Amino acid sequence: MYILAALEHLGEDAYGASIQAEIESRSERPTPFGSVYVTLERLAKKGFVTFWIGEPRPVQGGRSRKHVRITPAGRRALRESARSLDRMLAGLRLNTDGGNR
Amino acid sequence: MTRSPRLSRALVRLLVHPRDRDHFLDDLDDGFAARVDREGIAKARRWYRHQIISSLLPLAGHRLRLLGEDLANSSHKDMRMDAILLDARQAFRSFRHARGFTTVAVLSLALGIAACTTIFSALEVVVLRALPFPELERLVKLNESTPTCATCSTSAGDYTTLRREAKSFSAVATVRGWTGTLSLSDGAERVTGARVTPGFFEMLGVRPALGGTFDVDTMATAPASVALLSDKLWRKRFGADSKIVGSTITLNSVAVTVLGVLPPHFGIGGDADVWLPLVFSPQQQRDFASHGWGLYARLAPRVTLQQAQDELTRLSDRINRAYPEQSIGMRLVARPFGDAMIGTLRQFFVPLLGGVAFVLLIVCANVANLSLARATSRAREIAMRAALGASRGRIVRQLLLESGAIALAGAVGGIAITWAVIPILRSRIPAHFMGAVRGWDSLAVDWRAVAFAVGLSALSALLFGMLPALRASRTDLSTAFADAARGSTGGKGSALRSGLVVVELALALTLLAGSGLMMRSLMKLMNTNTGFEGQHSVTMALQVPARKHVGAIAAADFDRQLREAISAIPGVTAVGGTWNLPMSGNRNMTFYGFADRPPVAAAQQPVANDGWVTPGYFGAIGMSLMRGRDFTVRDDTASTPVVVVSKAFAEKAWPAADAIGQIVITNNQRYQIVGIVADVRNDGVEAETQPTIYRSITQAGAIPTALVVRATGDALSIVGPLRRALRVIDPDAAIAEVRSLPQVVNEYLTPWRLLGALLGAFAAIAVAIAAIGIYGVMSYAVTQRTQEFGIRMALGADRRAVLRMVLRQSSVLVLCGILLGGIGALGTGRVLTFQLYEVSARDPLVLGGVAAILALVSIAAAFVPARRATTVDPMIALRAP
Repeated sequence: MYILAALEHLGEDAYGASIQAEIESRSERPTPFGSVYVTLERLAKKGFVTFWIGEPRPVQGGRSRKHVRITPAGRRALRESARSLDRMLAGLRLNTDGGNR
Repeated sequence: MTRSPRLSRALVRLLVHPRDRDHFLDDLDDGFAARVDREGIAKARRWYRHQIISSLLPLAGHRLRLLGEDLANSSHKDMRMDAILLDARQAFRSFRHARGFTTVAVLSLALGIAACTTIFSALEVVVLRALPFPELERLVKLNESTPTCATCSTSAGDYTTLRREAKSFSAVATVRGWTGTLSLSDGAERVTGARVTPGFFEMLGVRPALGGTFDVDTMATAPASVALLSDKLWRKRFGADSKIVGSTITLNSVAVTVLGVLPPHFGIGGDADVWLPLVFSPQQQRDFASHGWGLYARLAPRVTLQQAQDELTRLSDRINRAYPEQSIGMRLVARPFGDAMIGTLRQFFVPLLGGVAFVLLIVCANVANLSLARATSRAREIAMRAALGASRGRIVRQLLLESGAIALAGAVGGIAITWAVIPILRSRIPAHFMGAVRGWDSLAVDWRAVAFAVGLSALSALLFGMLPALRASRTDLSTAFADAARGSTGGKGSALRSGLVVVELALALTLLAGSGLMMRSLMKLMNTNTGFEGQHSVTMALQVPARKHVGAIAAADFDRQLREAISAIPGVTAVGGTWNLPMSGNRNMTFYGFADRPPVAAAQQPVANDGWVTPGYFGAIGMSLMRGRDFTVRDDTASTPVVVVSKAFAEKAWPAADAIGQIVITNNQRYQIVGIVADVRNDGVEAETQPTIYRSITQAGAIPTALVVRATGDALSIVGPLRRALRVIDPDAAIAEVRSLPQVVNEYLTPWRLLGALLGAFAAIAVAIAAIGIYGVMSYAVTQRTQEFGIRMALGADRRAVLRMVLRQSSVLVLCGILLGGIGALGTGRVLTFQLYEVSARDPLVLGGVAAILALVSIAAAFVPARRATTVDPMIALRAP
């Protein structure tokens, strides 16, 4: 879910490093690179993401990046899990930022 | 340049699927580069490393899953079974074209695997399976420790105190060796055994195979009239009769009920065929002075060895304070049962296991070397297969299959050799030595040995197959074909092969040094003067039912009859008896003081070896009487107690005065010294002589437990008449363990001889294989340089110059091998120190000698191809394609 959300945020600029940076900066949670990679593979198998190879990097001998794009099915799945999460949390009083002490 | 950490990258390469590897690394590098700009190189590196480490688990899991899917789908066409079979067939076909290579590889592997399997089998029976007791690590052996004796036997008082008071142990038991006669319809036989306190078997966790063991009730009602039999005695003497429990046998002329039969191979320490119950009288329970009991215990739950030791120390102090008149300042010390029972044996296996591992490594290096040579000559074939579309994995697999087939053949050969060698090894061990090493008689090739050999062969296939396979498969197509067309191959592999030869030589030298050190120790031991001049003496154990000859008069009578009967046998020149034969492994000591000096507390008294002999013993065993007189039959219970002392004792006690006529006090008894005998090495050939006091068994009113008879000519020929004479005097008496004195000394040296011979055999194999290795490398080098030699000789170089050139090249290899091996040899010496005798671990003679041997053998091996180089005809060499 984190990854799918990150993909939505990043749009065309989504690839391994940027996804990881996006998740870390938003969730403030350390996310190992390998986990991102493995999860992407799994999502691809489910048809939630697709890979596409971009232009070569603008340095000498630079290789193409493997970019990731969210599919319509992935988008649906993200929406679905966000909703179910909302439902799960509905009515709970949680101490979030600015909550009473 | 800001580089990402290299080790981490290598890890990623290992774990990420090749398809995604580059993308993964590039992405990581992007993140890394961004951090270098933002946070500096050090932080970026830390981040990178952290990423890798935290990614390891998910990546590895993913990779395994992918691998599993691959295998399940079998979509990879190379992985299909028929492809593997095709490769296997290809492998066997290739051996037919390389018989020489296959023979050398299989034979040397078989030798290496056989050496390892043999030693493994021995290790298994005598060490790993020697003490099959549940929770072995909770069992301890207890000893008394005094300044003069680190691990001494304990007393009945020690046992009683621990049994009553020690909280650290859930069970305590004590054991004493026992010998007696077993009377059967065909005469009496000496049997060995042990007396054990109640709960002994329970403490060890041993259940009888038949019947029951001693429990407390049985002990209380009938202390001495029950016995347990060993499996061996039960089979040998009672035909494995299942109805033996409850029946009666005759031990020491007394009827004893058989309570049960113990499981096969049960025993602690030496051979024991009969187990009898042991109960202490109230008087014995307070006896802390008489020793000779072996004390064992099982730690109570959750008690550590250290806690038990602390309690033992407290109890020892209490005992010493409570019984000052018996105190010798001892302290009870506990050590792990396994260390105490087979600690020395374990030590023996360190050099042996190291030795066989080295042999196998040399073999692997050599086979790898041969495979490399073969791969070079097969470069064209392999290049062809690659050109026709074989993947690198497929080629590696075929080459590994070839190695596997060779290794498997080696394993079969190795098992066959082990199977042939083990009976020889078993029969070459003296019976006397076998008794001390439990389980040796059950040494055999079993399923464990076979599994070990097969596992070892698989491991060696990887060891010797991987390197050549990877190298060969990396062949660059164009150069391979070009080289092949030119009829020669690149010298890339030759540095690697030279390296392998250097390793082989170094390992061989290490083994040679070990066997050299052992042989030199053995030689020194064989030339050591033990003090016994008994080339024609025979020693034997004597077993007499004690209760038939109770009292000094009966004992003296038996002794006289025996002496007269033996002396009457033709050829016998002397006869004597003792309680402790030379090299028996038993050592008794006694504290002593002097009448002419102020008395000293027991704990501060000096100790001497405690010898007990009959009149005539010194003459029979060949100890020279230096001054005074021997014991005589007139030294009886009624006359003044007398002793004979050793030269070392006399010189230590009276450096300036004459010892004869002086008074020695030992065991609270005054003895007058009447004679001085030469020093002897009674405790062992390697053991320094100890000051010794000899007392007379006859004067003590007792009967010897061993006899020494000296005869002219073949001393062993008197054994038959002696047996007959003994049967006349007492049909229940028996002799056993008949050995000539030279045999006794010889068999005492078995450990050295065995270690020397085994290491020697390993070293011989190692040197032979290393010689093959250097021969192979040199002949390859010579073949390669044929053209060069032709040109040199055409330009006027003479044969000797060419010979020198080739030999110089091999000398470099030999020198490197010897230098590297020298380090290993020093290590070997250290491992062997425990068994070295008067030889330093870095004995220059041995080290120099073995280095010279190795150098000679390897130069000789290199000489053959070098000679071939000199016979090159310049014309032919130059015209060669």
